[in-house]
Amino acid sequence: MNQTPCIICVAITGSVPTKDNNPAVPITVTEQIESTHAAFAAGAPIAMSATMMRRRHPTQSGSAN
Amino acid sequence: MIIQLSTGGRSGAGKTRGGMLPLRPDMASLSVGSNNFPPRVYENPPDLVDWLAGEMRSYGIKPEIEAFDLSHIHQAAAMNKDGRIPGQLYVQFVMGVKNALPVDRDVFDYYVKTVKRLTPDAEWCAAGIGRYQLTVNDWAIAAGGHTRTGLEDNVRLDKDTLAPSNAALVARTADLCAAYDRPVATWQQARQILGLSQEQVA
Repeated sequence: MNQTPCIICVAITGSVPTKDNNPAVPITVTEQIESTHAAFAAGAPIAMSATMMRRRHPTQSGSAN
Repeated sequence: MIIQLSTGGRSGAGKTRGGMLPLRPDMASLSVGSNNFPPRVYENPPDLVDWLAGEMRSYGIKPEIEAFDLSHIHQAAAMNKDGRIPGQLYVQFVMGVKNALPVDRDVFDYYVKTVKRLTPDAEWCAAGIGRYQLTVNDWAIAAGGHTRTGLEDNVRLDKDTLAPSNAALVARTADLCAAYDRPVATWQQARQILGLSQEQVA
């Protein structure tokens, strides 16, 4: 039995799932921060975010404005 | 905690995919080869892969290799050997993307074997997409790897129930760790395992 620590990574959101799929999908910056914080508290030391939202469209520009 | 940003190709194209790297996240995803995604080809030509890897070196970002195919593990090991991806490799097996590699137990076992053979110091992680998320979580935890969950990959707890939050998906993954007597890594342990600095960024 392997008893080394297991890293849980949480991929909080991406460009595919939307609130139409599940209203819990975090979209806005505030929602992403709150969702990340809750996931960290539940045991995930890595949070991965695929996108930030620019005017509700996914972007990887490094700025959410 | 550890922040990882994606340079994946679903919402950007070409070098725009690396537009956030100057923010110097702890980690960033890096795909080192191409494959099909549901609507189209996921293009990762060698020159773009080299540019993204170079940006990650410049900004001191640890790549997480997204392995959608066996060739991606071989390519990552080759890039590690020649210095384009320095240090210990961290490889994520992504299984269950439509039109790409399905969730297949024999392939999973061979992925683990291949990582251990090509790059024995590497750490690996596995993610299952959609309804296979928990299946792959189970395999990875039992086999001694790390694992990914979250609403990006899957929005349901089961066929009839939407996941209420990312935290709920993390909690069920932590329950699986407990079932296999594996402690869930703290952020300090995770940073140590991944060779990241122990400084806590406010």
